[in-house]
Amino acid sequence: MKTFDKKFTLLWLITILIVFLVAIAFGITMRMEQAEMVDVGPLNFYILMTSHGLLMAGVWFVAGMAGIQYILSRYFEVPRWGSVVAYACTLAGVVVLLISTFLTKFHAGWYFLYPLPFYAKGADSGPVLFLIAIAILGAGWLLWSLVLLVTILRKYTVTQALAWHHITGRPGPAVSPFILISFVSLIGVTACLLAAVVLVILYFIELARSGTMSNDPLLMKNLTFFFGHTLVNEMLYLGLAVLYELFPKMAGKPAYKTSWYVAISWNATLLIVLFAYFHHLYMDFAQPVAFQFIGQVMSWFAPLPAACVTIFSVLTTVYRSNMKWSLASLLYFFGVMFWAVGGVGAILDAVIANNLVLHNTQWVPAHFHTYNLLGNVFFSLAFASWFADEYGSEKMAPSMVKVIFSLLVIGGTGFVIAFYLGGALSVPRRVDMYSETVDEGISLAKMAVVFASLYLVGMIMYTVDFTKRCAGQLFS
Amino acid sequence: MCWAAVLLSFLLGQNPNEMDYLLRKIPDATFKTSDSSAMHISSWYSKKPVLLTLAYGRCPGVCNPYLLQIRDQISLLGSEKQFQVVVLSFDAEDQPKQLWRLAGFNENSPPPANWTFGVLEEDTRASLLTSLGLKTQMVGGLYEHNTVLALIGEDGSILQWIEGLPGTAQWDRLFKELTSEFVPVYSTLNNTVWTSCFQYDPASGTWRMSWGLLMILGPALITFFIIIILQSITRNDRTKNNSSILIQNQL
Amino acid sequence: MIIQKEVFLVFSMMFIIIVTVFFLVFISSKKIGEFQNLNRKRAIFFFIAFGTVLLVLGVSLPKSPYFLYANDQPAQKVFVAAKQFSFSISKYPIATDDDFNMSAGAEITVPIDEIIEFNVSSLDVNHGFSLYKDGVLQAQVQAMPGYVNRLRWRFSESGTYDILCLEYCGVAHAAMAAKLKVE
Ligand code: HEM
Ligand SMILES: [Cu+2]
Ligand SMILES: [Cu+2]
Repeated sequence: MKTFDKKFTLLWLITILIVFLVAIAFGITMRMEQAEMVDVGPLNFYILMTSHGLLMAGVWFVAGMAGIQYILSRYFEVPRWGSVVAYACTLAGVVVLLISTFLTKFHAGWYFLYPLPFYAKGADSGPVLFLIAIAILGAGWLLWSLVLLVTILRKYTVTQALAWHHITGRPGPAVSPFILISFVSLIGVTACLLAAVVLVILYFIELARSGTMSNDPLLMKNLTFFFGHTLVNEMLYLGLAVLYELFPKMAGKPAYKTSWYVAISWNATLLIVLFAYFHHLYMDFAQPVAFQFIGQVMSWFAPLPAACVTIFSVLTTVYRSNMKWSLASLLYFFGVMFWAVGGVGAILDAVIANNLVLHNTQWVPAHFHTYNLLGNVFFSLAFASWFADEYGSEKMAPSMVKVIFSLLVIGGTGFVIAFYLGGALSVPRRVDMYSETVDEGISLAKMAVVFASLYLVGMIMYTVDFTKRCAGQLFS
Repeated sequence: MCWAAVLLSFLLGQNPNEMDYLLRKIPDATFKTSDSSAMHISSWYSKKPVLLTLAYGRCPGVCNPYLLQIRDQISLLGSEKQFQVVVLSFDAEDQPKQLWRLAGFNENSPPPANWTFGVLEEDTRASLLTSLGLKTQMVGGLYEHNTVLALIGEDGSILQWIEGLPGTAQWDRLFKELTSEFVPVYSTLNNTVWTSCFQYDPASGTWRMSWGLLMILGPALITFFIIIILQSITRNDRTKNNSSILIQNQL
Repeated sequence: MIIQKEVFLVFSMMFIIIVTVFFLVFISSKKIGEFQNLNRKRAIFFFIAFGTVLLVLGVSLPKSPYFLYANDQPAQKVFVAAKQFSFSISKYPIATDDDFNMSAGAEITVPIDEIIEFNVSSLDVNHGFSLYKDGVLQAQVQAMPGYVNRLRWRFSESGTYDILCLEYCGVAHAAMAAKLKVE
């Protein structure tokens, strides 16, 4: 195995785990503020919220990319500089982001809905720094995803990488699901990062020509969610691509093949994902009704190909497999389960009639934390565990597997259930304190703090164990 | 398809002026009626919606066909009692009765009760004209002017503003507002906004795609082209590597 | 039953089903065997999933709030403008800061069992306009600068409704609220 790829993947994973711990601490502080257990004040709350959101979205996006990069490097020569530049950009971007939020007090939220950055800006340089952070991250990641696309295209034509010959039955090279899903996701990633570029450019034009030019809030909101929603959605698929590669082997089964329905599914997903973001604008009656309906239809069709195929495959793989469970396979298997649960939460919210009373309530963080905290994060942790088992000094002790896995599952489940209850009880999201109207939020926040702390403990143990087993590799 | 729609709507782009007038209040001007009493516009709009337009009696051009068309359209509507048509002259030399002629009324067939004709008084004339966006210019003893039809709500604010002869769709929209038919949204974007994804068409109360939509389609389209370009620049690598693809199945 | 409770029930049911299925499969992994009739079961699985999606779409799309009371005459128009960090509610259009200040803080009363048309806009950033009765969210619409969104609503219960800002709009977002009386 090529040592550079191994070492650099390790560097990515350790960085990701550390940033994750910090971001969880931000999250727990927010929940404590809402529970009235600490008093950081509204400004600090929103600074934490902005940092938490972007750190989390960023960290699990790069985790997915690092996984793809690594598996690709097992097959092909992957240019190294893509990953290296992305790493540098990620570090620089995170530093600038934290400066903009903690020093210049920028607090407009991680997806900075126009025109809030001009109002919730802290110091005048706040929005500029924040947009620069976004630009650095966006540029680095865009480059990385192009490098990975080129790597795939060096072997396959576009139609081959999209596995069209597996649908039509024409002759062609075998394309593994991993290649297909990575290719589809990377295309989506490229599109949404380009949307971020357009968004940032529009912001900078308005900043430069202050007062004489402004942007259409509806256009900006469309761009914002095209970027934000699609990014978060695609990063889950990046994790899935790796799952398709590793999971069957963990279960002692033959590798997954790209059958005609897998090929059709992911080609459909490629398109569907681009339209699902409309569900973020349901309560904007200015958006034409046709778009709203497309939003609901696409949101409901999105899980059919991607989720249903995956769930079915994973279930049938495990069924009577007599497999030996490791932390990696446990995380994959139950990650898929929680992804399904979060998906149900998501599509219920994606019904326009339901959205009327769920939009911007805690139902929203409920469902996306379910398939991030317990889905996407599990996928990436599974990859990291597999990686550590493969290359680390020793395997994880079975008792450790049990403790860490239980902490993550129990902590995570309790944490998101507090959000679901909040949603059902009309508790709004993104507030630092609960007024009398919605004071159920306070006790739910307390409950969440307890469970999130369990999760944090589990993550600390995981990180310590991972570093102990693998850090030696980094310097060998 | 999409492209065509976007292009088409760009070409059909509506008059952006309307937003400068919508929801603004008009001054409560006074005018002389045919029984030569003075009257405030508010005495009408406080009772029911007012369809307000301006004209002048000696007009050799647009006023006559314009008012005739308005009369035609209104008679098609049927629910005439729900609103008041007020036709005011901005020419101080006019007599209210001279204006009847413009809309095809005369002594033998006088205007019905929901039509009011009047001549604006000097003091509030200019401010009313400005608030409605009516521009006049004396040329050789006659006025050059544009025509404006405005729907005034019960608080004296402009609910609809149409310059020139309204098209069928604009009439539709106007009547919808008159009869309070539901339109879920309208726009009040100001003119520093350089582009939007949809353009609100006050005439029909619907939204058209506008070229700002390209900003949203853009990233997807650019991605498409990038993929095509990447495919062509990697062509040589692919032919070179074709034989090694099989390793993938062995790994 | 209120929508939130229904959604929560459906969600809990699906949660239990999903967890049970995964758990049973997990337990089965201790045994050795093969999944029988893979293709047929997959087809059935998809058929059910596809059917469910079509059914839900067919039932739920027509219930979208965009057409709520579209064919009725509203008994009253209410204009709502949002601005960091308060609402201004009036029976007259609110287009400028002056209009806003004039009716800021004023409490208005609307009739019960009649259709009220809320004309909602914002004078600065995006806000959310929501109607809460006894802590239960009844309906909402975004307040977007540059657009006036119209929400038609019929109140079936009298009393005081809480209006909360439901779109993050800056530091005092949590405190941005107003009241509406229904009689
Ligand atoms: C134990 C771990 C975590 C805790 C305690 C936590 C806590 C929180 C809290 C309290 C909020 C604000 C909720 C509100 O709107 O009232 C939040 C928002 C958010 N979280 Fe987490 N979270 C955790 C993990 C994650 C993960 C793994 C991700 C993503 C991959 C994530 C992404 C986000 C995002 C994107 C937001 C939205 C921020 C915004 O509204 O601007 N979080 N989280
Ligand atoms: Cu607000
Ligand atoms: Cu707010």
